[in-house]
Amino acid sequence: MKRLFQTAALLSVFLCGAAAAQDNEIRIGIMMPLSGTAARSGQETLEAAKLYYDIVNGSYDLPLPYAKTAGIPSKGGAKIRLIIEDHGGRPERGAAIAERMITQDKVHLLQGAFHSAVAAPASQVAEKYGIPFVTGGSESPALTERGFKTFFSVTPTANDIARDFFSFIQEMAQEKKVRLQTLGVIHVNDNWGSSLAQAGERMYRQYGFEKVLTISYSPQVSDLRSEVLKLKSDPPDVLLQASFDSDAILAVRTYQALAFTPKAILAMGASFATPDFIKALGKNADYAFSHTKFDPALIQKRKAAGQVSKMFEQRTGKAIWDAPAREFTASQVVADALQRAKSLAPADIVAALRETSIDGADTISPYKGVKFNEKGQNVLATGLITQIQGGQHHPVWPKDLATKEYVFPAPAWDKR
Amino acid sequence: MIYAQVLVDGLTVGLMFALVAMGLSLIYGVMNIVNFAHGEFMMIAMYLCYFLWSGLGLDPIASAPLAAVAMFVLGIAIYRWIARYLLDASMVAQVFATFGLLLFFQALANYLWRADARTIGENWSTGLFSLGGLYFNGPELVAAAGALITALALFWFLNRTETGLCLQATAEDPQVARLMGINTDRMFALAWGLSAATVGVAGALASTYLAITPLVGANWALPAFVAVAIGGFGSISGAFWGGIIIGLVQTAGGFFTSPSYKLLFVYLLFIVVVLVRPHGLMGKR
Repeated sequence: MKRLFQTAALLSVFLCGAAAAQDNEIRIGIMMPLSGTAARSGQETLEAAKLYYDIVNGSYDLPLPYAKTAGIPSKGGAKIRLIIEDHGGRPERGAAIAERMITQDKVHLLQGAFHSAVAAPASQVAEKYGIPFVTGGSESPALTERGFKTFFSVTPTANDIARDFFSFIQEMAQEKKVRLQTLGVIHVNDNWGSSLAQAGERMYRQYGFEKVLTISYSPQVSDLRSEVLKLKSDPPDVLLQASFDSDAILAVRTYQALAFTPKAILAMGASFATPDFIKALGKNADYAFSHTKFDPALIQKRKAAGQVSKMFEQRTGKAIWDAPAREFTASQVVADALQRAKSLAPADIVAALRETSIDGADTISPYKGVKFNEKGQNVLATGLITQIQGGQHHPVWPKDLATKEYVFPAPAWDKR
Repeated sequence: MIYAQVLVDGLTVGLMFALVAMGLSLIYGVMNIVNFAHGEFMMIAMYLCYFLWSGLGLDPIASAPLAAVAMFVLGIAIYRWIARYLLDASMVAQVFATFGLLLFFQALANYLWRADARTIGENWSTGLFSLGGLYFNGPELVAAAGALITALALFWFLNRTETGLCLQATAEDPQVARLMGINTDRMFALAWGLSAATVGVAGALASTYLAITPLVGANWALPAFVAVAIGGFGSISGAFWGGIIIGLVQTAGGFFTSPSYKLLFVYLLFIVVVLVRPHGLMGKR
């Protein structure tokens, strides 16, 4: 009997807590890889979302919307509460997490998931319940190609990135009068990595390559020798790469060990853009190109970027970079929609997201802005290409954002 | 020449697999327990070497003996506090306990050191050279040589010292060994200590060229399991050859077809061995 009372008492406390929680808060479920191969990137990306929502919830003197006011003004200053879940990069967890967040935590919106492979099943669940899902960094074009009603992608997709890469390669080859024959693509074997390979296979002829060699690998590897030997057996002139964190470092070390020197390596996604990458490889990180959506050079061009990057550094001890910056902007898109939504009903939030129109200058990203097409893809999303020179990323393309001249072809490993 | 490179690379990779697999086989041979946290021992040794390098400037190759000693102690501690109670437990309990240990160590590493990919910079083994058209990477070559030396030392210890023979007697039949006056409890502890120490050396050797993350050990444990299964459960020399075979099959298979399939060949071989010769190439029936 005593136990029954205890249980009842405990239950009522929970229920009251839940009821009280429902009134003046907006719940956002955010799923990130906090463990697994991309854990470090995931943790820092989450930190950027937390930073933005803290800015919204508190009162800050920053040139960003809703910084000065506490909470979302049109919703009576409602505060945003994040419900955070680790998916470890595993697609099968994505759907389960989304289901739980929607049915049990009663989230108003979902955000994430870094890995496209996780965002895909998770957003499918969200679509089923009509709950909006906003991704800041899942780049697979397949996500928006599904034409979901509640899915919104703020980031450029792998197609946009491949197009940027190819135009840039073509420009370099013409300027330096280098003939390019073979294109290599090395990528992790999930749907984000494969999307780069597909884009490469679709576009290589159009940009003057004669053949393409694609190699996929599992990110859980302890060596990449046969992959690199295979590349070396028919050495590509230019290599496109899609890797995560530690495998990117291993890959470049193996290129060096087996003296495989493509004229240029162009990397999609987070890995080559992380500070750890340069720290690990030192001068061997040099001359690699990354497609990125943040660069410190933007601090001069985006009014909030400087302060945001300082705040981020205070929290994490690291400079803000591509993936966190994108999540920051995605969070901004979410807050903007919440402010404009007629109510907190999912359909109203979706409708508000659909009408999003944000000028790139009001974000910290290089995007021209944020505007979604009927499939939920941000059509104004663009990135920039940086090259590592002397251990630092420098924007080299597009020309108007470039701060340095690119180096092409890259010198051999032993000539650095 | 590229074929010779495939062979050399297969051997370099294989020797490291062999060392990791031998440690795994040691515990299984003596106690009939599969230690799922084996890769995590390696990960801890790698972090140890990293911090010795970043804090004290100690070269990872020089800290390999330190890692071996530290991991030896950890192995014995795990035996004393956990593994000892698993001796007569059901297999489910054994699996859950060591698998729990795997999760625990991974989560602990994630919590303590975050998931940053840490790397040891220029060290004593850093360097590249080519010989007769073959390319060698200093750290990996040193690691392979270190693995071979450690493996030989382990063989010597097991076959040429009295303690080593006692350990083998315990593996053969603990009850009879006990009747012969062998303190089997100490032998079990020794098996855990030695197993952790060998994988500790492997960790120290690998730390010179691999990025260190909380998950780094997991990438080694699976091939090690396969190596042990191919070589024969409980056979240390079987585990050694199993590791070499995996290295060669993986590198050559990936090179001659597509690298995406490189693990396919390893597991295919694994399945064939399990079907045709379930006790492994060198295991006891």
